[in-house]
Amino acid sequence: MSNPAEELLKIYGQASLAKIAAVHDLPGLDPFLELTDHLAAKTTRQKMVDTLPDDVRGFLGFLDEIGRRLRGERLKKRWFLHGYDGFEELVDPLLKQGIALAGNLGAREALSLETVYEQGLMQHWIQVTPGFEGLAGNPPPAREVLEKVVDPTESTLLRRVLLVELNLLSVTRFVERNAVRLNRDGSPHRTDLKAMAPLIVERPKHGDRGETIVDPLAVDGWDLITFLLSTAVALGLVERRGDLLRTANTCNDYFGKSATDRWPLLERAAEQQRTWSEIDAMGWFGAGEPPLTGQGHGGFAPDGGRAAILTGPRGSVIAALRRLNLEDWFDVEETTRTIASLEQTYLRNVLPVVPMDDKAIEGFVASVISLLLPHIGAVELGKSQSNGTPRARITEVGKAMLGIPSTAEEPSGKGAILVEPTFEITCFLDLASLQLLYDLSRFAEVIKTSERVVRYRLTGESVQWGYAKGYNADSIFKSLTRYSSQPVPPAVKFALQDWERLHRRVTVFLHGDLVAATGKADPEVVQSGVIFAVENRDHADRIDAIHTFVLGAYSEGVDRALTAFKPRVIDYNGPIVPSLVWAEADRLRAPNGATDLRILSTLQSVATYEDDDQYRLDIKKVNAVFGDDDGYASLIDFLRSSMASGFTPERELHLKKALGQPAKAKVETMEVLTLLSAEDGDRVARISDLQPFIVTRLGPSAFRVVPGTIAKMVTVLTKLGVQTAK
Amino acid sequence: MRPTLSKQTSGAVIHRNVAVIACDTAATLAETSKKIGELGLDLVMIGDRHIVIPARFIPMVLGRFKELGQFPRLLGEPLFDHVDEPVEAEISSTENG
Repeated sequence: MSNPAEELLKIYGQASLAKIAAVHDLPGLDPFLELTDHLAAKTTRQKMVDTLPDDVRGFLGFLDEIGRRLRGERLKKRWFLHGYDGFEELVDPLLKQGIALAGNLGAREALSLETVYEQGLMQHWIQVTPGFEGLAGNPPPAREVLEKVVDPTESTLLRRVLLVELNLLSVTRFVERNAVRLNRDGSPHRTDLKAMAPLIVERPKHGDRGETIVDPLAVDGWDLITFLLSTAVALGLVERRGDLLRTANTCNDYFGKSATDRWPLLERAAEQQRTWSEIDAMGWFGAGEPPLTGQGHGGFAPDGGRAAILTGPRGSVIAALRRLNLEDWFDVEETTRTIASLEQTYLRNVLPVVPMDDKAIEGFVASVISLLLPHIGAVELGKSQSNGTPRARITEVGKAMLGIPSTAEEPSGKGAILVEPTFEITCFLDLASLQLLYDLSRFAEVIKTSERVVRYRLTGESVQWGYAKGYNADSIFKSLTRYSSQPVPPAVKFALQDWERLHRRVTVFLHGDLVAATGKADPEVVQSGVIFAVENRDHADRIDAIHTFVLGAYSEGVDRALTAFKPRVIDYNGPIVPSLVWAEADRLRAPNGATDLRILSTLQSVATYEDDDQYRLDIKKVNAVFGDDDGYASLIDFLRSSMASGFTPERELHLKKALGQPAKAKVETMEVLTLLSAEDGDRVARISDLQPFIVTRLGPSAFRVVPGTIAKMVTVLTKLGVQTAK
Repeated sequence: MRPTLSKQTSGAVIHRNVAVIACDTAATLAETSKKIGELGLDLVMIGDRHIVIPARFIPMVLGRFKELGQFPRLLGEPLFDHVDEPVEAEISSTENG
């Protein structure tokens, strides 16, 4: 350990050391050497601390307990919040004796103690001088800063944290099944919010509403839903993807944690959330109306939100509240004034309020205490029974959230539900745990909520949703049995098994890549490469010897795994990729695995599979699919967009013949030949082998023929499958 | 110019943005293909138990299953390329609060 004198020299330089040495009656020529000798022994340093006045030693103990440097301004605030007055007169003897130091240990240049005093202590870092740690003992006990309220307080709002988490669970579950759409300003569609509202439990203790909210987006409904969505995003339950809110990949992580881990996370998320704003909320409540769409209220902007700037101010208010040592009910107005005056400089610079004055700062502080923190169950609101002044107190769960010693515990959930033969489940929230509510949200649907009871129902749909999320009949039955106060009826067990049988018949892989081994590649090597790129074996499916399906999350891995095979990509969000080749006049080859599946889908309906990837076109199927009137024309359109080997007019005429609908021509005179349809006339006009015979095209289907060549022309036409009448 | 597959096929083809419906038996496959065949989608059966469709049709397919009271096991994230109802219409209808 270095000698304290070295630290003092590094911070202050020689000049200040002489003054510090003088305080210790060391009037020698080299104050550094003298101080080094003087401070070397721990007993000397302990004696220096022991001779300090009690209040100064207590302050030193407090500074030591903080364990790091703080700026003078913040240290003074922390000392005040600890319940004690005075600052300069306490820190001054410590600095002058070198027991504490003012300045930055990492600074490149020394800054004399005299300069520190000239510039003001509040601007400088203050910390215990290395070597003096642990000598002052414990700091004095924390004292209440605010005057205790003495008259009785009536509780007006206590939101239980389990209900907050139930609401977050309901929001997540809703978003999981129905993506919430966003308007241009990032605010959610009102129709989606209204659909979500019935799932939300909102219970002001003495509210005058019934169990359900008549207009789910009346101002308090809007406020609560926006807050819940915003907090869900901050917790990583929900995220913005494009113009939708979707559940995040981490959406279940929070619900699997223990209460002691979850509650501080919830407080942190409420503090960090960027969409719901206390300032906006005050405006909504003031106006008594939810905001208009299109003004950014409750908007999930890609680059933050209206409340992004409030994360810092919220943190400062909550930190001050944490340090005020509030044991019971406190007066909201007095606390607001105290915190506002303590944090005035910072809040004045940061808060986006116009006009900025003391009232605006106090308004924000009050809204953090009476809107934000009650929203997560950290603060209970009340009012004085004598004069009605607003009161608040930090709940036991709130203390756990804020890192204050707390007696809060989460119930185990045992005996919290009753499962009836009608497949309805009654859940008593006083006994419930979040794990129970989470399980129920996976496989049961909510049919009614009230302050203390939630009614669920098991249905084929709800249970199969649960199966889709990894539950099975056995695990659901075990879960119900574990939490039920009565034996679970056998009928429920049978139904769960029945639904599972139905559910297990079909698995849908929602989105991904189908990889097909083609050409000379070894299918086994291709499949192994693809499967190797997938971490979870359930996320890939070997369909047959050459086809492997992989979920979309692994697309990049699949691309990398197949680099050596130079894979071709057919994107089903893009245009159709021509991939058929001719085998014979009425036979097409659709290379297995390399054919666009949209083409293959149509081909399978108009042709009969033979072998070697070949399909024979069947005019009956063609007419059945495309209609008798223009079956052939539709087939031609389909083939033109599907043939990788092209579709020449010669092929078209051959195909017509092969399908029993040959093109027909008539020799009108020895120099004029006509086709019976204009389409066939076009085909003839495009065939290069016929051009030497044609002088000119007389109309859509008539041609003047070079004198003396009509017989040769008819021969060529016959080879192409055209029937010619003379 | 349209993309085409050349005659010189590469070692592998990736059919991107598709969905696969895997059935437990060939009989279930026949039943399932009949159910969703009525939707008139591009679908291809591969092997004895699998149906492949473009992933953008999945909402229609799940809707059909739901109509029939069946809720299959779902794996992966759906491809949300579009929203059923136009967003702009919602904005204009609620512009005045």
